[in-house]
Amino acid sequence: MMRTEARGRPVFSTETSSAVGTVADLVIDARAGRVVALRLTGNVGAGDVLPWQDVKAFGTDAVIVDSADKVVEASGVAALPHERTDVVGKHLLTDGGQDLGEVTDVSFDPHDGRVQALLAGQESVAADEVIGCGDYAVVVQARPQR
Amino acid sequence: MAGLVRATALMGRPVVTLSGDVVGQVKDVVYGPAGGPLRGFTLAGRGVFAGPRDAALPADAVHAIGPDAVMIESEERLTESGAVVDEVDARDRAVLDDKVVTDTGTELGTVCDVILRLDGVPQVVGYEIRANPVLQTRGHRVVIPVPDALPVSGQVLVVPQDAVEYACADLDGFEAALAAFRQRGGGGDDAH
Repeated sequence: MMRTEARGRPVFSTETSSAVGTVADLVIDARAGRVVALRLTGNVGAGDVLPWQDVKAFGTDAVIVDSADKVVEASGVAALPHERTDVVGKHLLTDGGQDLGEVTDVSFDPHDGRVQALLAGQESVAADEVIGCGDYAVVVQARPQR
Repeated sequence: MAGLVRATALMGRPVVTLSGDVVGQVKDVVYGPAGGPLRGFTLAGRGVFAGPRDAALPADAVHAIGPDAVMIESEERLTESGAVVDEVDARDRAVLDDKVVTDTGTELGTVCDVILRLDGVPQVVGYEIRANPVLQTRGHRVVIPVPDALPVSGQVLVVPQDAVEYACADLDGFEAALAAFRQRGGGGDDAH
């Protein structure tokens, strides 16, 4: 699934059968290659972060959680990466110093939250090619040929 | 990709760690009094908020020089600029606008760029010259190859006369001209 597809998806609670918010964005740890949480908008509680382990299902139409209580404040999520590790908008740079473009999207496995690939325009790089992610760029292994 | 690059093309290129952090941008290239291998780069601060930054990147700390960025392993490899730029005031050896004279006494023009080869340790392999009429049959700007080691004083650049025969109008074809020039033994004789 693409990050851009995931955004805007409603989040429902099984406890109350009601909406608890809408997916605004994915919180991605590029180095670990995982979606670690969802950031929500329009949520009912005080927090706006839904840790990935509390996602019961990431379906084609909706995200399901047990209860609205699972949506917490960012400060309560220990594993939440610093914003600098977010990937979208950063340069996708090979370790050979070639800029492949700005990261425009991320594909991930909705079952386990594993990041599959980073996309920059027409370029797509598998997540396991990622060497580092800093304030300027996501650095990936250079390809054998351009 | 081609290993030849103009030094001015490197200036302003971001210097990025393999962790993805930008640590500055290339301000200038630094090489020793004998020319040849680069000592490294001086850096300017990153972004618009940074002031001048007295940091330098030794050549051996470079992971890769790409078309869009200079990659380094980590910020810890940066040094004080004094470690790269030695006591001799670097400005005294700044070659831009220096006159280029052959070892037979013909003035060829003035230096407008330095040509580097990036394979392995980056080194100076040629100069781009704003050509005097004597060279202008080959263009207003020509690239001439230089020997492995060529003394650089900052006043004048004395090049072997036979380098003129290998002058190119551009970097296209310069690699071949350089190889031919150096094979000819152009680096061996010293005119001084």
